[in-house]
Amino acid sequence: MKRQFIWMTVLSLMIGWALGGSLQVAYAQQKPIQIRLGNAMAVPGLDPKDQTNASALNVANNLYDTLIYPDPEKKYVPWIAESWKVSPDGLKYTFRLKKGILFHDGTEITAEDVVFSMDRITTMGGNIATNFKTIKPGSTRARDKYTVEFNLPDKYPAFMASLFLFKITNKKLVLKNKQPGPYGENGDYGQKFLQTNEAGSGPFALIEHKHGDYLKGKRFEKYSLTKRQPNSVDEMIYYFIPEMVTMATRLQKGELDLTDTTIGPSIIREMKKNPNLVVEEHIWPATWMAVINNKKPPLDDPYVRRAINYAFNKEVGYKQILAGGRPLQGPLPEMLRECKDTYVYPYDLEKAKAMLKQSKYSADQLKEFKMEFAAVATSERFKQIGLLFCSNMKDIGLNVQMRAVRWDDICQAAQKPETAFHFALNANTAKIPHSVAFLVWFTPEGHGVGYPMGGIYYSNPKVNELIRQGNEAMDPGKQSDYYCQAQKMITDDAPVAFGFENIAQYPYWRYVKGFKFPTGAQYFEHRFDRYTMDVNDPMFRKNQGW
Amino acid sequence: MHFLRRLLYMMLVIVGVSMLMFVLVRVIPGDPIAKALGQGADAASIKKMRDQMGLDQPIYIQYFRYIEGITRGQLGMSLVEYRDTAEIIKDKFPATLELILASMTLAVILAIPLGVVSALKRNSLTDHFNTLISLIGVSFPQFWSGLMVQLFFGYILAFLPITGRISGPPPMAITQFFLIDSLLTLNFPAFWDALVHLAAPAFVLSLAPLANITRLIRANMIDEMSKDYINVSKATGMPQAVISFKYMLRNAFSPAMTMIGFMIPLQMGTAFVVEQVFAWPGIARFGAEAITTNDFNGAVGVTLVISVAVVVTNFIVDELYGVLDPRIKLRR
Repeated sequence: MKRQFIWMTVLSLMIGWALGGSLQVAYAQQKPIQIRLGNAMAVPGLDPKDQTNASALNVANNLYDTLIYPDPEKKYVPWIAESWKVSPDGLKYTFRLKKGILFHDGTEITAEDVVFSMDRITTMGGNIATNFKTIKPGSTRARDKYTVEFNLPDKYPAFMASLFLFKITNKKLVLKNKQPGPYGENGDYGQKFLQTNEAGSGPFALIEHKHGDYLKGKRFEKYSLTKRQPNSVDEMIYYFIPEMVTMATRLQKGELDLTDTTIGPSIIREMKKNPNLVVEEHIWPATWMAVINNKKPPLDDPYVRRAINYAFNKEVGYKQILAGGRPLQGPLPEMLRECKDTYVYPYDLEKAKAMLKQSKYSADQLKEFKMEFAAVATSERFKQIGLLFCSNMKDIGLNVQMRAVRWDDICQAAQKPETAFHFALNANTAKIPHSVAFLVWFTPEGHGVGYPMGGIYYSNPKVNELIRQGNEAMDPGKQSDYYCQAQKMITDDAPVAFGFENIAQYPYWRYVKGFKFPTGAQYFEHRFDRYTMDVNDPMFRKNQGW
Repeated sequence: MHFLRRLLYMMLVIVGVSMLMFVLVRVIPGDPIAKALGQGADAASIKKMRDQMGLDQPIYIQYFRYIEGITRGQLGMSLVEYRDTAEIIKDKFPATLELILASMTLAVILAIPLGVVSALKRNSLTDHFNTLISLIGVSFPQFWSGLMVQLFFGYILAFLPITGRISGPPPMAITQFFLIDSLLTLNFPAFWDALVHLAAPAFVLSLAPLANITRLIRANMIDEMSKDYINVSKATGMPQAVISFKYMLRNAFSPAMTMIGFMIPLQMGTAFVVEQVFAWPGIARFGAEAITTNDFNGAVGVTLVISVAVVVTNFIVDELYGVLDPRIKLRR
């Protein structure tokens, strides 16, 4: 009897343990699959017209959708729009929308929403509106329920690429939540509502946003533009962590699954030793260059500018200060470069000195000029590159002193040729992946804009004409040819000190699958509907508490 | 009458500071509008936004509009977060205040016994050890201390969270102080969650005031030890603990209280380093960003908050003096 009792007890315990274990597994499998991203910059607000920084662009790409989607080979593919046509004069773009694409509140996207979204941006202004400044409010029309027409007063070759920034907003939802404001019947155009809410159709819907702390989104179950894969992400969480060492610690502890690119190279070097982490390295489509004020002597002399380019030791810049990279070939990043054989100024002090001898300024005159190099004070990388540059210029007898200043000071100074710094370091990113977005700075249209590149004040009539012809050309081959010629001429004139393209480093845990680079446009590499997780990886289970 | 007079002085200080800051942020160089609009912003777009924000008006008109906005509970749109500064302060200020109060409470709780023991055992090993702790507190930068605490307690030992204010759902918002709200709603899991998140940043922020308060209490206690009433108390057989904590400490603590009162608003300025390292969603971090990005309204808003905090804590400290030393109350 006693023996039977003991066996019964042991058997019961074993059954109970097995059941409990399987219940736990069952419970664990029902937990949502989260992806937790560490971001250095907080999202200032959720309004799609104010995507001011990398985090905001990243988040907007998950909460909202666009008419077209970037593609690294084809440049763009249909997305909310199923097709489009461009008028022969390049002034009218007509898009046909797909039917049955839903916003997060279940209502269908129609041409009216597209019209509303564009009118809202162009009426209110803001960060994104600067990319559509040629479009007048009210000029966008809904031809029928699913056909929308954009009317441009002038040709804008980068219009299609700009559409990656144009997020389609739910008109009914926004107007339902409008407050009194200066826009007539549209009130405040939903400005207050969209600061803390979203009205999108993207793969993720907003759950919660605590400014400066975190942002949570959950998978939109009725999302139809991408096919749901097994073990794809159910919830996305952005943690805003301004200190990169803290972010690295959280990643290594397993509290984050991946981070943005702000973790410094010295910490990444240590992370690479961790077999559980993957670090992907890719050339970031940004052009690091020292902007030169072409109006201020002696920088108005192209020989002096060429000398500067020969004297600038770029290799030290990208190999030792940044995580790696390659020298910049002309004014365009590699992904947009129209011609691949653009001249690269090698580091050659003798050539630099020879160039100076050909300039209109004598050696004594050049010594007298006291020039300033402006670098953003809050960035150690910028200041280090600035010091490198100043030291290089000393080697050829040019007197350049570094000044660590605020970003605002550089932008404001750039607005007039008299106040623009002699040199200002800038890393220009390809937010709109089109050559004209970079080439515009080398034309009068770019002069005086409140941005470091606005302080170049370079103008070559031949370059202006080539870019104008490229903008007018409807044939992509001809356009590329014009831009290529402009690119070479700009390189020869050396209106800036061409620097480098740097490597961006993306660390993530090995169980994260689906990271892709390049995507065809920036900030789409963290579109989380394309990510899956290896839920059988023990590190995934440990990190996510499964 | 005394209270009304103090209230008037407080109002004058707040108005004076706000006016000064309002003018300063608008006259220093830098165009935050161009930055807010990003690259490619042309002169027309910048002008449009400047007009929308009323920056095209003369400065005295801007100031009157600002005061008018304050009466409606608005402090102007922030260019950092694109929403009204008053909302930002309402969201973030409780986080910073909770952090500062926790750090000062920790500093005082630790400083009192350390200061008293150091004074009683002057020049002993205990005294020297306490002095070393104090020196470490004031010498090591908060930035470094914060990262070390994260690394050791957050990563290696893994028993404290590395960042943030809470991991799970926050308690129902009543005061916006997570510790108080969770106790009021009997949400003990949230209380514990908030407490463990607060521990590391509060400890790091408490190091400098802990050092200063310890040194001050020690010095004042040593002064008190030489007074006649102490000898009389000892002669009457009173226990040393009673003499030290009931009589000597009460007199020695008054100057420390002035320092504590002065430190609380100062901590609001220095807390941004701790908030940065621990990703604490507070007002100090926002204020630092507002100043570096020339966010007019953000900078003035945060300055207003700090100046109100200074005058209010000074008022409280002054009144507490009267409690500690009734002679002060009588003199008034």
